[in-house]
Amino acid sequence: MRALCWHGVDDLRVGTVADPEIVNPHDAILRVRLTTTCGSDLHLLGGYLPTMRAGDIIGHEFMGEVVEVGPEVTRIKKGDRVVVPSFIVCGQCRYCRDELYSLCDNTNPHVELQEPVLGYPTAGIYGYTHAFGGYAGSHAEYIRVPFADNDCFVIPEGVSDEQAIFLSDAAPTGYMGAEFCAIKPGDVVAVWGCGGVGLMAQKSAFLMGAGRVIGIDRFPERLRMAREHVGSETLDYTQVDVLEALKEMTGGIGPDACIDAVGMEAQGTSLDARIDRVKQSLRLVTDRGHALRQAIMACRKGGTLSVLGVYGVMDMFPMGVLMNKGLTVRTAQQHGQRYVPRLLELAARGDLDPSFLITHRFSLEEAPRGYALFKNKEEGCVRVTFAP
Amino acid sequence: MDTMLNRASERPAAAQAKPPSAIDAKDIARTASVLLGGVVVVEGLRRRSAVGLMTALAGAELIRQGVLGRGAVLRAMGVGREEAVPEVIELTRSLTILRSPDELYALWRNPETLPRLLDPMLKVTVRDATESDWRLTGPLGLQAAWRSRVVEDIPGERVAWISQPGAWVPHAASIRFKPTSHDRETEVILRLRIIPPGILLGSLAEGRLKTVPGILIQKVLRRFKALAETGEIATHRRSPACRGNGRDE
Repeated sequence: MRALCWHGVDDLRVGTVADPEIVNPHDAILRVRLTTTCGSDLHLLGGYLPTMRAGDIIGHEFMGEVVEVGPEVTRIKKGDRVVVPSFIVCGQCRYCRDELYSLCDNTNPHVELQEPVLGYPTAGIYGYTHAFGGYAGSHAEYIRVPFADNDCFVIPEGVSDEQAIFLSDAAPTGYMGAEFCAIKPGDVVAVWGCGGVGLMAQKSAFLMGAGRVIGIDRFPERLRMAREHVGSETLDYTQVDVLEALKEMTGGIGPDACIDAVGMEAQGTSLDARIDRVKQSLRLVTDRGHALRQAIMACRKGGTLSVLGVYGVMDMFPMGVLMNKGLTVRTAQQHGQRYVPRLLELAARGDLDPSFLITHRFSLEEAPRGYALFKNKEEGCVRVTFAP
Repeated sequence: MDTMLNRASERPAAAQAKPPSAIDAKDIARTASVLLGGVVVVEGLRRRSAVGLMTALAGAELIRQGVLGRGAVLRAMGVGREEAVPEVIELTRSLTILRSPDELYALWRNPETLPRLLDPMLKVTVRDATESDWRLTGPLGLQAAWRSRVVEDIPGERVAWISQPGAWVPHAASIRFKPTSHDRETEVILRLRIIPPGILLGSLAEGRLKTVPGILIQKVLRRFKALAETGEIATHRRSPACRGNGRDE
């Protein structure tokens, strides 16, 4: 089959690989119908995350049709149109039992690569380094989905492929980030980043009763999406001093909750952002944490910081600010399996339609060009979908 | 089992003799320690202050370590370490599994289990209820094979086994199933005691000798947990990839 493979920093190529096959009894094979770029893939392109191997298939946000199931799959059957969260979970361990799915104990075959860094290993992810399992990604014609009964969610009739695909990652991640904020009616929520996850976090904050949502970015088309599709107020951080603006917009108090949907490659114009950029380019640190630091600074006293951005091992972390302001920090990789059923219901009712995120529709063969547009935010690119 | 591991005669003769390079390095470090200590004492006493007194005392300690040939400073210089390597390396790892001790015992004793847990690091062939053959294929085609024998078997509680004479790395191991305060949850404790091959003794610190077997038994426990809780072991084997034959073997 054809697949998009990572060969090194900024080196993606479509190549011919073997077809996936059923390896374990709970596996299913999907024909991928749609698969999309995710901001976290940019950390792979930049070479910031270790344990990639040349030739790995990337991609972890997708939906498709079941074409084959293993002998012990009972709920899912051939022909089902399904969406699959990016984290692979077993559904049996204590973390799955507590709905902390991305912490699943039993789906990462390479625990020895993760345990020294994290203390305890996390679940595996499709197409996202060998430390996260070494599973083949979704930018391919077919993909093997382990534990299909837990990880495949049947898409109802009225929900289209384009509406369903973001329920794989961007929507549940954003929804989780808003849930972390324990939003009370009327709360003010500020969200750093107006990419797929940031926009979904903003939408979810409104669904949970936020009075005002403020989206922060620098790209006009993303800020416009936040205003027009979500109803957020927006700040362009290249035009205004974000801290001053937020203080002013909230009557001198600060937002009740701040969500970081940016992660380790934050841009920024301040001194700390410049220091980060130099250190990261010299490979002294993995992270440019400007957005996270600004969110900590901006948040009201006793407020909530919800971190969805992906980070490595960060230095220059303002623990004293966090501590003295008594902030509550909530963070996780997405516990998608907890949220997908609820999100499918919202989509079927017409309350959630994330398909507006798609700005470019390409074939799989055009995927390298899609990533170039996505990385450089050219042609107003927010999300690219590939139809293999 | 303990008697077998404590028998000094089991240790290869090469391990008894210290490598010459270690002796040289040690003598140099001891001499350096005494000389440096002397300079520091003189400098310290010349200052005639509290700081000077502390400095002089630190110098005296350096002289003491140099004369005795042991101490923290010498260890930091990489000397005196070979004395710290014990004859037996002992490792214990534990993991909590959501199954009862009886279920886990039964799974562990299933002849298909061990070969699955250790594949492809070690090839295990179970001969009968007490004996199994183990084979390790290392880099450059190096091979080691040994027979293992179960010496203790308490259903639902504990299994212990030892390698039979002739093993490259003589060892004894046990697995214990300990109920926790939660229903149908078990703390599984895997313990491994090995006599390191002589070639490694004296050249590696104890911590280094523990690294590889430590990773191995941790991995075995993780896989055992996955098998017990889900009925399968997660793998990306045979995954398609743009290298080799188009998939990982």
